[in-house]
Order: sequence, then structure tokens, then C-alpha cells
Amino acid sequence: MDDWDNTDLFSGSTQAEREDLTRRQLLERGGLALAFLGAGPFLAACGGKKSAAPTVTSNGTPKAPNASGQIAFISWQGYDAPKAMASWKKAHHVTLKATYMGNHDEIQTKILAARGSHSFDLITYAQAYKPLYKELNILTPIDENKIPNLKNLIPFFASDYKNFWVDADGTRTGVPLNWGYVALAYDSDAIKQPQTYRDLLDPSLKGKIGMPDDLIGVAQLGAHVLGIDITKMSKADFGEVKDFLRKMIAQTKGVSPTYGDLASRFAAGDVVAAFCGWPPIDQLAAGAGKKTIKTYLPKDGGVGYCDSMAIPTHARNTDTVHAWINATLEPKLAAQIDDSLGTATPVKPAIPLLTKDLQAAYPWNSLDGFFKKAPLYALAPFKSDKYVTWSDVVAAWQQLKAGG
Amino acid sequence: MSLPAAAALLLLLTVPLATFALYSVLTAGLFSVSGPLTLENYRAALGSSLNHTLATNSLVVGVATALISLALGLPIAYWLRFAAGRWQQFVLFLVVASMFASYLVRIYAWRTILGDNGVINRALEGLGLTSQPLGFLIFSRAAVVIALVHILLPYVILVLFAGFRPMPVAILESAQDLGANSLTRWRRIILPLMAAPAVTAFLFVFVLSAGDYVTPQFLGGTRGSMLGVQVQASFIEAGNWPLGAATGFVMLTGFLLCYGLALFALRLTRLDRVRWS
Repeated sequence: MDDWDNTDLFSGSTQAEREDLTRRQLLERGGLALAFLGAGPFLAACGGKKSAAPTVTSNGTPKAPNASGQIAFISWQGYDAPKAMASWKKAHHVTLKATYMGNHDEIQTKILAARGSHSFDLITYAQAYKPLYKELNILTPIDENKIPNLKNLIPFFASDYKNFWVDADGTRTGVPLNWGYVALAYDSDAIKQPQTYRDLLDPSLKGKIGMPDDLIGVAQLGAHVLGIDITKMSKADFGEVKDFLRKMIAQTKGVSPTYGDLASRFAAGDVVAAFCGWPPIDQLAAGAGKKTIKTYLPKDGGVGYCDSMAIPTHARNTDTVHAWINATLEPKLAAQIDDSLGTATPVKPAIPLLTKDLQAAYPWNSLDGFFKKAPLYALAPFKSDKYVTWSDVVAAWQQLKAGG
Repeated sequence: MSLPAAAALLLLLTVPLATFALYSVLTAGLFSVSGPLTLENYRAALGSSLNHTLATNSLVVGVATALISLALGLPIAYWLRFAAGRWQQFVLFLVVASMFASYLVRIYAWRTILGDNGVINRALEGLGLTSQPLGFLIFSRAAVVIALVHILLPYVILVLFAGFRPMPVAILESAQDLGANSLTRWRRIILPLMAAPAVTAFLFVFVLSAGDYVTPQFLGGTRGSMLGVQVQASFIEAGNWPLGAATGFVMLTGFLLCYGLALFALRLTRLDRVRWS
């Protein structure tokens, strides 16, 4: 089990209290947010006047601009925080026209398909995509003076770590929205807790292992388990990773197209453990009546991720987008957003406001150590004579999924 | 009158096809295309062993789905036309209403029926006929075919019912009066007259099922993946638009070839000329 200690953050509440109190809440909120389809914010009125409000107060401190009008948004369902942001939207007369994606790659595909004209005003990106988005030049700088709540970020997420959110020249392109990890998930009702991922290759588990069709998570995790950095992977390394994943896929009856599907398979008892599990599926499975699913970091670790808000090129109404981003860093709103998603917040003052289960689920006090066990990786390079490229990884994944 | 429709068809079909035809011979960039023109994408699409496997899967699933749908749809459509009587409108309504159910919901329904802990396996174990779940029921080509037949059967029934509709009952009654039994009436009258609608229904189901990329992901497992999934991956995940376009055009060529072969077969057997009057 995870051995992080969060006692100083949660003084006064016992582990039992946390579990008793919050599992139901988390289930209700997390499950609902991910389960309901298409309650789409077709609220959209048009228009979106640009505000020319000053972004720095007379004493020099940053100030969020005035917000109004429409924001065109694309991301995962639930990242638009329909419940948490409802009051803010009403108060500022802002409408959010949300497009939910089924695959992260839809973001760049749709932005590029607009061919230099307006597509979206606000997106999110996983840190792994930052080098690609930089290469494609589809992000615009974020004005930190318009987001005073950046001060609320946990120092790790306020930093320029690997230039995932802040470029080497200090230009900010992303503001962390949530973070987490993918690792090993298992059903404690069905099997003993596996110590390493290799335990999943046991012949007795044939046909009982799940795996999501999350190319990035699976590829990064497959490499990480073998001690390989996917961004610097030689052909020999790649061969090892493919062999390992081939064996793992052979343990499954098929790759789940989504994490929700993986949760369904757990709930139905079709799988008892998963390579590349994700903590929110624990809650989804619990919502379906299977309360014994647990995602955790085994001895060989896991892979971290951080999803950030960003402004794409040719965005409109950017003052309102800045104001939106600023609002999501308000502690109360940030806690509500992460409660609904079952993810971890990057907003420090929001941590004590999270459900007790969510507070206990992440190592808030030792993020540096945690991200050594579950590193944040980029994608494999897109062009390289020395290392395996992302295209190679994609092609191999298709082959592996088809049993090749 | 038909000019606006023709213009819409030209715009909505020809322009996207022409765009992708152009993409398929351009050089791949990172989520982009550029010159010079090249046939390398077609070489990659046709030379990939993975594509060969997936194309075979697509062909098998497409043909199986179309044949089973036809075998089920033909008697149902016949019954609707000649025997349903006052039930005809109600059953037709049910056939149409079944298409309103979400595609994904129907796929998940089959998951709960075919899964290791699904209805069939539990029933078999409950009856003592099996001691452990029949694993081949789900995450296989068979599972994909079963779900696709369920999804596409209403279309087949409607196409075949439209084919039966102008058929006068008197012709079948005359044949019966002249001594033709049920088998003879089907062999000598119904099947020749229904050949063209049946081929239409077959091709309709074949193209939709062989090109599907959603059902195989949910029910196909590692053995039931299909070529459409590869087209999607080339466009969305790899950002290799020319390869995705070339693979798509290879599929389109395959479908057109099937269409041409079906028409040729109809003409060769002169079944395309069979009319009621």
C-alpha cells in the first residue's frame, strides 16, 4: 500500500473517520460527474465582449479581469466543472460551450483543422503533450498578472518543472487543474495485493487482467516498470517494452476502450487486476457496487500526470478565460472540482476542503518523492535519429492491441 | 427539382472524398500534410502485416454480419408483408423504434449478456451445463458479429420489406394453385425477385459492419480488432493523416470492388432484370 503520511494536513481526523465519512460523498460526486452524458452546456448565448479592465491594481498586485460572454471549451467531460462553476458563471453572465473529447488527440486535431481560425478559447492538456503542443505552436502565453490565484498553487505546480507549464524563458502556457497517477489496480475481494506489475503475468490470472486503451499511460508505464525513460528509448529498450506489454496484453481478453469501461469490467467481475489503473476508477467501480477496487503504487512505481488549463491560438474572449482559470484556483471551487472528478488538486488551500478519502489518497507533503516513484513524463520524441519516436510507439500499440 | 439534392450530394460527398484523396498522396508531417506528392502512404497501407490481419478480420466480420442479418431479415420481412396482417404496422414500429436505442447502450447490453458473469454464462452454470464461463462468448469476432447483427438487422428488415411490398399476393397464390410448394415458391419466385433488394441489404450491412471501429473496441478484444480502428488511430493518435487517408481509400476501393462484383453477379445471372411486370 501507499506509505505517504499526511498527518499534519489532517490533524484531528482519524483514518476511520475519513473513510466512513467520505467514501459515499466521493462516490456520489465522482460517479455522477463521469457518468452522465451530454448534459451539455448548450447554454450558449452569443457574444463575448472583451473587457479592458486593468490587470494590476494600484499597489502592483495582479487582478483578475472582468468576465463575461462565451467560452468555447474542449476537454474531458467533467473538466468544465458544471456544478462547481455554476454560480460563478451566473454571477459573471458567462456561458461555457463545452465539447467533450473521447481522446486527448482530438484537441490538437480540432485546433489544427480550424486552419488558423478560431476553434476554442480554453483547453486542457496533459503534461506529456506539452512538447507536441510547443512544436505545433498551438498554445498562447497566459498572462500571470490576470491570475492572482496562481499564488495558491502548491510550489511544485507553480514551478517550471520540466517546462510542462512554464517555458524555459518564463512564459506560462499552462495552469495545473488536477493531477494524479496511473498504476496497478486490483480487486482485494478476488486476489491478494500484487507486489509488482510482473505478478500480473502469473498464468493463474490469464484472462483476468484489464488494461485501458490509454496509449500514453500504458506506454509510459510499460517503459517505467522496466526502468526505461520513454523520452530516451533506444530500439533495444523499445523491444523490451513491447515484449513486456505483449505479455501483459496476452493476460487480458482485450483492451478496454475507456477507463469507464475498465471500471465496468471490474464491477462485473470480468477482471481482478489492471495494468494502468487510475484512482477514479476505484470510485466508479464502487458506484457500480464493487467497493473493493484499489489503485496503488506497487514496488516498481507508477506514472504521474498533470492536466493543465491552457489557451489555444486564435482564442477569443481571453480576459474571460483568464478569469475562469483564476476562479478554478479559488480553494473552495478547486476542492469542489476535484471532489467531483476524484482527482488531486494542485491548489494548496483546497486540500483541507477535499473529501477525507481524497485527502488520504495522495501524498501532499512529499510531492517530489512521489513524482520520483511516479514520474511525470513527456511523450516520446516526434523526430529523432537516436531514440524511438512517438509514431513508432503508436504503430506498435496498434499492433499489440490486435494481438501482434 | 433534383438539382439542389445533387448539389448537396456533390458538396457533402465529393468534396470530402477529393480532399482525402489529395491527403492520401501528400507527405505526412506532424498532424499536417505537405508536398511533394507520393505513393508511399499506399505502399505503407498495403504493405503492413497488421493491416492484412485487420482487413481479414473486417472481411470476415462484414460478410458474417451481412449473411446472418439477411438470413434473419428475409423471413421477418416476408412475414411482415404477407402474414402479419393487423400486426404489420405495430411490428414495423417496433423495428424502427429499436433503432432509437443508443448504439453504445446496445453494445453494453451485449457485454452484460455475453460476459464471463453475464446472463448466458450464469444460466449455463446454473443449469449445471458448464463449470466455468465460456470465454469465447465475449471479446471475440463472434461477439462483434452478434452485436452488429443486432444493431443492423432493423435496416435489413426495412430494405427487404420495401422489396417485398410491390409483390402481389396473387402471384404466390397462383403458384400455390399450380402446385408449387413452399420451397418451390421461395426458390423459383421469391428469391429471384428479391435478389436485387437482398444484394442491396447485404452491401449496406457489409459496408457498415466491415468499416465499424466502435464495436470491435468494446467487444472484439485482441482477436476482433478491425481496419477501421487503424484508420482512426492513424488520424487521431499518430497524427499521420496521409496514412489514415490512404488506408481509408484502400478500404473504399475494397468496398467498391465488392459492389461491382455483386452487380456483375446479378447481371451474369440476369437476376437484375427480374421484374413483377
